[in-house]
Amino acid sequence: MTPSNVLQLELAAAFSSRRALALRVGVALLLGLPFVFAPMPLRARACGLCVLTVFVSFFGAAVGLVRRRAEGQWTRLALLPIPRSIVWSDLLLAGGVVDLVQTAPVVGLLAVVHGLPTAGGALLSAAGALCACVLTLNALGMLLAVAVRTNAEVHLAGALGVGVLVLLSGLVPTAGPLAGVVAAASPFSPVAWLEHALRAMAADASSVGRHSVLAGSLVLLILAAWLAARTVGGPRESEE
Amino acid sequence: MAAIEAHNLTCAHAPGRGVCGVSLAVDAGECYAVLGRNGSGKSTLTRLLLGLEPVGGGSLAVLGLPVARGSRRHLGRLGVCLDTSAHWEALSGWQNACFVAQAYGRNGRALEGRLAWLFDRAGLAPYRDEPVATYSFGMRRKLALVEAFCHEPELAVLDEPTAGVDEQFVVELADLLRQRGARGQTTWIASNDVEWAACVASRVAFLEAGRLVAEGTPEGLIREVSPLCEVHLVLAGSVRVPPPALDGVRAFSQDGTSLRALIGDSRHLPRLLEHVGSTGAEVARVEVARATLRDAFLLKTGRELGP
Repeated sequence: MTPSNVLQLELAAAFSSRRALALRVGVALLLGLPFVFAPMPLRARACGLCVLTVFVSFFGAAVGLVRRRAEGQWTRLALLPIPRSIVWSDLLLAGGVVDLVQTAPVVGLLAVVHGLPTAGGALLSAAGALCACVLTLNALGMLLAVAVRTNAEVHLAGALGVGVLVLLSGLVPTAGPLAGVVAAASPFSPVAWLEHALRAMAADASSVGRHSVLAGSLVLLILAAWLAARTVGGPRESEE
Repeated sequence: MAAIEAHNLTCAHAPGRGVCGVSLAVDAGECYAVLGRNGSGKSTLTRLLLGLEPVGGGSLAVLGLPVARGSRRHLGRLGVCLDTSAHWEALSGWQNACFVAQAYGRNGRALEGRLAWLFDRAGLAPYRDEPVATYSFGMRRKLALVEAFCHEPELAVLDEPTAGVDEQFVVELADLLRQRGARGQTTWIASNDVEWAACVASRVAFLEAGRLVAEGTPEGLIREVSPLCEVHLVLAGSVRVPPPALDGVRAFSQDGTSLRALIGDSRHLPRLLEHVGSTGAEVARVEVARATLRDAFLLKTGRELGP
């Protein structure tokens, strides 16, 4: 395969090595399996998988991009006559797809082990929430990568960022004024949406509202269309 | 129209570093080499051309387009090889080069033919389908140069193009640059490789502490520092040769069978040999030494010539 745009290039690079792919999926499975099989409350399972997703998508995107900037790949891309918006959106989509390949098997296992028999609507809702969560976290990771300069800085800021995201998404109990902040912020957090969707999928599929199913379906449709447009399309658009 | 035009261009990284008031003009079809010691500002000047550094003062135009930090309109007409080679390591050299060529709007059989030809000339053809992760440093540099030339750019911007590559490719690269010049395509080179630059560049500039200290053709710069050739003749036998009264012979000395003379240029050599032959002496060996661009570079950038 000869990649003709940044998305194809990134995906080809990510999936060209079976070993690297197996490591990516294997590590995510190893980290996620305790939250699927170990005896614990459902909320703990859902929160654990959400934290895993934050680590994989937000922290992974930020650290990976800073490493690649140090290797000169940002400059290489910046010197090509490809609009920056296309470069960054392709990087975002590629990061999202790779992260979905890592996280979807764990979420799938949760559905199989705890969610069956579950309604298709709950699955759609969870899948849409996972996609929205992964893409948003990737975008935040990219913003962090742009803001920091060195590898050490991104690890420090990334760890802090994971903590803030986990907190604001309501994954850990809070009290006092902080509880108010979390209550105000969490409805806008895709991580919180994912946590709700996972709980609904594994506990009570009938509790999933129609709007959640619609939103999930919409996210999946947009992602599929975006992906199809960038992978099936012809040669890239030029700035020339 | 000049391919590159800079007027009083400034870009300061830190006091004493960067580019300070550089003015130059590179015509279309020229191969222009900027030479300077490490930290003299060559790479900064090159990055200014690419819009990667902020223009602190003065003006810069590349291919007729004004360039500042973040300028992108000129990039589609450039081929770039920076001093660091960034590739997608898991992909093959061929995949990397195809992606770059397609980014410049090239595709189809013409692209494949062009790339195959470049890979062959670079000696990368046997390794084209291997991951870049398995490439040596020199192979990565060659791949970066292949990518710079894959779309036959109007202006090729090359930073240290000969660093780490083998001699065979250095010769191939020189040939490639001559072909580009013949087609009216411009090449900008920033390098430490003075002798190679003397062979390929139509004009060179010496950069020292961010300032242009000399500019001209390699021949012109050599003449500026030393217009004379030194001729060393070794005689077969010990014969006394009187100093010749010839135009163009500036100095003459004899030490046994060894004669030394300074002449204006090599056109005066036959008359000098004729004079020595007229005394009955037999010349066993002739050596002509000229100053090189390296000598000119060292002198102009503040160092004395060696013995």
